[in-house]
Amino acid sequence: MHPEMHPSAALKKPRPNLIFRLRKQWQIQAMALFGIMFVLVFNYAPMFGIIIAFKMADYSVNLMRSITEAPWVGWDYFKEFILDYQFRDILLNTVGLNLLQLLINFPAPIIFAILISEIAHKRFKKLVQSISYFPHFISWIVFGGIIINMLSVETGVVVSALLKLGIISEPVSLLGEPNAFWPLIIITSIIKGLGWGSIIYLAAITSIDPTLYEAATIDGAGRFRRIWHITLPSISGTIIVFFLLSVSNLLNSSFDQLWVFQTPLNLERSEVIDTFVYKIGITQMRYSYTTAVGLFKSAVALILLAGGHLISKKVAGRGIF
Amino acid sequence: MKAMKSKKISITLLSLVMAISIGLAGCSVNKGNSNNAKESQANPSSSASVETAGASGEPAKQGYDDVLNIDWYVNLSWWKYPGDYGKDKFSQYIRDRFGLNINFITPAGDGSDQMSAMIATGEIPDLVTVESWLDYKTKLAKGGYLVSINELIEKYVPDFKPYQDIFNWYKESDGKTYALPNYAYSSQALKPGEQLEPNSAFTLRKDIYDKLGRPDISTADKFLDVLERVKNEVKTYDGKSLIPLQLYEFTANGNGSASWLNEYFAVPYEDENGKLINRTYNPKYWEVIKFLNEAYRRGLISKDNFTDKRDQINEKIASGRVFASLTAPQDFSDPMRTLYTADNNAQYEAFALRNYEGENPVLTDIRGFGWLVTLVGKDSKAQERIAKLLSFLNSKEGQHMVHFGWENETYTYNADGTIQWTQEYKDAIAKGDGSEKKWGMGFNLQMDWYSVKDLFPQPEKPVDIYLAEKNMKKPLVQYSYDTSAVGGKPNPDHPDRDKMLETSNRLSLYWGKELPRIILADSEEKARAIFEDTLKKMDDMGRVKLDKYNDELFQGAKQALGIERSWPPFRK
Repeated sequence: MHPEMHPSAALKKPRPNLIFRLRKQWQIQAMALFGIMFVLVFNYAPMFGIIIAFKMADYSVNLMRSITEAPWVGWDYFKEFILDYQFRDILLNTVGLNLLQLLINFPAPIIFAILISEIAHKRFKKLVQSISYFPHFISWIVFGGIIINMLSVETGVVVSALLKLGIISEPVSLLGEPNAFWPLIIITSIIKGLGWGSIIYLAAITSIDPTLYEAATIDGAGRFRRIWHITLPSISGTIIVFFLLSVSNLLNSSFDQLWVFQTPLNLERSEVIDTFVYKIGITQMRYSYTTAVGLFKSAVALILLAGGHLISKKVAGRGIF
Repeated sequence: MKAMKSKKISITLLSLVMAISIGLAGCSVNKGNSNNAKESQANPSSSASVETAGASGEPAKQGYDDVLNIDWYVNLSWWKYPGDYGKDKFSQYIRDRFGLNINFITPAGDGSDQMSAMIATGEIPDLVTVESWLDYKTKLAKGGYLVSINELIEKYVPDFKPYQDIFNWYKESDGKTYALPNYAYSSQALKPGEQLEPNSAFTLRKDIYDKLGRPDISTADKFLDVLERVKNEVKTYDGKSLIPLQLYEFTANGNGSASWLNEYFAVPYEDENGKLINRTYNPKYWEVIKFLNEAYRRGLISKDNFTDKRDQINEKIASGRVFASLTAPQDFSDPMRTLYTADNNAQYEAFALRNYEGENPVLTDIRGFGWLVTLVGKDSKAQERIAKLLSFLNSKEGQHMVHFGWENETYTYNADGTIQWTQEYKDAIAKGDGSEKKWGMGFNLQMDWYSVKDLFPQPEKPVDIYLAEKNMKKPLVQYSYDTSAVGGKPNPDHPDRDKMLETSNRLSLYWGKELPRIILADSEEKARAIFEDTLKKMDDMGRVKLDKYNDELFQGAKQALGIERSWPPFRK
């Protein structure tokens, strides 16, 4: 490239200062202002309360005063959490369940979207889409209640079907079996989220230039080759962004879903950080202890997010920030 | 054209579906929560004070000429004065007879910041009503912000004699009482030898029991045999398989039925020396565990019971599949009502489940120390009038007025002392638009529920008669006693209070985890082994210290009530 044609050399104008730009764009900035204020008030201001993780504020009657007046205790609550007999199970369940969701629930909507996009019959395509969206709108409490009834040992359809098919020889309570919990969560969340999650991928797929497909067909590419070489690379940007967002959610569990299916019998595999914090923090009022647990979770999630960002930069050449 | 038409059809179909679902959602029946506290229906009304212009036409008996404005803070965001303040008969009566115009204040949220502000600044309204189990009453009393009830009685209403045992229960460390409760049951109000209904009541299905010929269930073994007969002989109800034994849902802290079984199997909580026993560690408790484990191994408890939540249990009862239920019937009155409506013969009756030795149950009755307590501020300028008001509200005249209204206007007395509503009152209620508010009945901040509970007109519909607690629990009244000391008298000043609370929560979570495993064990020996192991682990978690602390609170309770022993067999 010739130096004179380098764009930056020709347009080396000083950038107008910040105040000037803000004033010029004041209408747009005003619209954004509400969002910024919302985030400041509800996300940043409450962060000051995190210091109660290092103070003794369990069971306090007036939490606002405890934030400023309670005595310091340092790392005691973090130590307590790590030494708790449930710590290993809780951490294993939280990370394991979310990794599994990442491995299975993340690719599923993509594959589903690709499959839908390949359907030629228009009415059937719309029908499949509408039916698959439907479970998303039911709350987990209702959906979970339906599933619990289906899993009932005596009257549930699942156990009867498994017995008749000969897969199990005597009725077993699936909700009472810890090892059945993770598959249960994965399957129910796929049923519920598959349709809705595929919308955005479907939108990305429909925006692919159809001439690419025609060129590929002329070159002799079969259906799977077309998907592999055209569809997937074209939506790779969307996939990467969603992947990184999912990684940052690695320690966040979908509380509603887990709470509905958790029973005293499957606690070994169903207790995650969020349900633990709810039980101990809100119902038993141990505010400091559970703030410490929450802070621990945020720190680990931050590390995972930074890790995911670096990996994706290395592999795909772009990160999230 | 065809595409347009099918598009139009699908759009109309979609909007129809949306409209129907919104309509259905709007028409959903609001299931009112049935409180154990039996609060009267509070209709929305303005809580702001209304300056009344001029006295009413009728001169009061011992009235005042002027009216003082006072503030009454009630620590419940949902509480409302049940009438039309300022316009209804009750508020006018208060104004004329006591010269008081009350401004009721309620918090917007849970009230904790308001209470903390009061404690911090010392600015207390004339009257404050808080929940009896919260620490505020002690904190306010300690801060010197309240005038003791003792002083008020001495100075202004020497004839007012509150029930001594309840009065002493609320004594603070300086020997004075600053709080007057509502819904408290006093042993002194009861007639000698009278017993109240029990809190729980194990029930079984009358129709199925009759079918078997009402066999003997006087010991736990015989009862289990009968359950087995239900499973093998009767087998189904209305085509659905029967569940012989139904327990509460298993929660994170254990199972309510196992706790009630303590009472039915007569596991003592006090030893001969008056010391508190931790029931789980008493050798007799093993019978409870053995019973549940045996019932499970013989297939008498459904596997679903271990994973079901309350909704699923409601469903099972309403569908008629449950034979015996180890619960309190007031928790399941809705499904029982549904079942009765579907089949008038499917009724539950209470029965006394006995332990393996056939001993009588020792049940806790429904009494308590009250729900809300009312405190009087030291700086109030209307102490004399407030004292007279409180004395009136706690008297028979006052209680009959707040519950029944005015004689010959809203009610009349029957020969036996019970009341009957007048036609005028019944019409006002039937209108359903709040016309009964003109009387302003139902003021519930100072209530002596025991004295009036049996005077209300009896339910008339068969389903109401069947479900009325008094009727359903009648067979068990002979076994229910006053065990109110067992909960201990709360001592918010105790230095170990927070630590003990934490230990107790930790232990109960651990117990909740282990209990299902114990009951699900394949054999009695295995169940015993897991049970002993659990007890040992709980010892390691600090159980002994917690027991000592609870014993201290227990002794404090007995002292406040003026009794030596609390375990009913010791008191006979």
